[in-house]
Amino acid sequence: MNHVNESHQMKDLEIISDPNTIKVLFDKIRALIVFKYLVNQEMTVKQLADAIGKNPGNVLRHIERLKSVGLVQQVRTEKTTTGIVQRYYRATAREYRLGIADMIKANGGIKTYAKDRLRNMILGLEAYGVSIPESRMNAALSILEELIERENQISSEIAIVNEEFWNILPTHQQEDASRLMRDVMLTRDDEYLKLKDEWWSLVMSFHKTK
Amino acid sequence: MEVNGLGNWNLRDYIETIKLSVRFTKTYYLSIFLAILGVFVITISLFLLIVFIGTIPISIVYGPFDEIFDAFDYIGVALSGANSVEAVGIVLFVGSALFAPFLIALGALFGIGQEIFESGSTTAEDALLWYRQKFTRLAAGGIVQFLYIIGPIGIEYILTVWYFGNQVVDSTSLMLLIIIAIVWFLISSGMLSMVFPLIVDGMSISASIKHSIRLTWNNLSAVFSIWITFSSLGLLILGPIIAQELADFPIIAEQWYDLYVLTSAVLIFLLLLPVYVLSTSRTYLIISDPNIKEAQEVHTKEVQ
Repeated sequence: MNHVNESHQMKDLEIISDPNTIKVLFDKIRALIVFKYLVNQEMTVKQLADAIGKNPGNVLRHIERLKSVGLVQQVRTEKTTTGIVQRYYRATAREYRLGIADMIKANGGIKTYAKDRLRNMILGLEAYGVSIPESRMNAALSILEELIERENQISSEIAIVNEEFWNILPTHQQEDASRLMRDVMLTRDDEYLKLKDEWWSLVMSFHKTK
Repeated sequence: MEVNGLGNWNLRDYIETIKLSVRFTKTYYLSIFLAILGVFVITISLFLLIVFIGTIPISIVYGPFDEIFDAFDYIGVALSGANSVEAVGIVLFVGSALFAPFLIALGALFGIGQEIFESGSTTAEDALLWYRQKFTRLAAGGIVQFLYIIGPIGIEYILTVWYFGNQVVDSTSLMLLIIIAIVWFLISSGMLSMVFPLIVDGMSISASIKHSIRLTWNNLSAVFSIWITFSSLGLLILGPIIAQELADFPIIAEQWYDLYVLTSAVLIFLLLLPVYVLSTSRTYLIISDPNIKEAQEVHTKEVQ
């Protein structure tokens, strides 16, 4: 057994629901390492340190924390002619989303953050003429939570099977392909479609057209 | 650019690892020296704190005493009055508590060892950051290693006392028992020599113990070539002191003895230890991925 993840198939989407993982990502440098760099390519500590302008020791400690919560994996090792042993790291998924339901079940700040985020999403619909009254807010929150959870669950089951091909695609093509594939998978899921219907009915019942 | 896959550890890897460790120790010596100094100051403070805390229960049992180091006299008294099982228990308990600060310090040095070989740079401050970040795991990992290595030697001592009773152990048996203890010490220490690199790499204590044994078992030549080299050098330096203290066989003239002890300590802690830590870190990085390839070092421009 070694530290290199032997089945390092990259997921299209990973749902983050563990409060410890979320806390690890509250650090700006760690978030930058994962979301800006390692979701897009494999990189060594030295490359990351140069890219974000931090000392390599600092980056190595961040990588170690990210590995410990399963956000980053070591994919290969190279022994260089200068004696350095470069280890390449990559994110475990192409995209990460916060698991709203688990966050709501959590304690303290994370629960409040998740609830506020959902509420703000609904309040934001005002811009489109959708004003949900306080009396229906709990029902709206509940449907939206279930809908997002289902969407996340279906999307996170989609695996990138031809990783070599995936890696040569430009980012916009990766995003388009991912969106198309998610759409296909979602339209085949009855539970998702049922929730989508409920959500549509609720939103449309409060939709004011000009 | 990939050239070829690497098979088993060979003589070239061994020589390269030692040479590179010496070279990197030279290159980063100021950082390493300051790191050792910084960690040493913290270690001594922590050691004194542990001794101080230890004096509280001892003073309750034996009454108040003047200096904290008198605690060691009381431990000696407790040992002389104890039976073999109690004596081993006291040694393991007191030893774990007193060695823990030094083992955390050693573990923190493995952090900078990994940094040097993985990124080609380090600073003295990094050792202190590893010390802080991995404090609990390094302490616990160090204590577990101590118990794994010393525990069976304690059991050997208990069995010897039980078997021989009040009889004096004959010199042949004594020599055999000492050889068994030394062989066990060298083998178990070697098998556990990957524990600190694994802890630095993010593994839990139990996982790092298991993985160290498995990694060593699968790469015996790699781990033991490095471990035997440095333990032999250490024994070579300490040999005259051991011979003089344990076997009452004087090798160094009395007027030079203190100077020799001091020189040995400086050589071991400021030279042998950093080179050993770097060699073990590089060995770990190489053997932890059986599919390691040889390549040119990549530069930032290639990824941006």
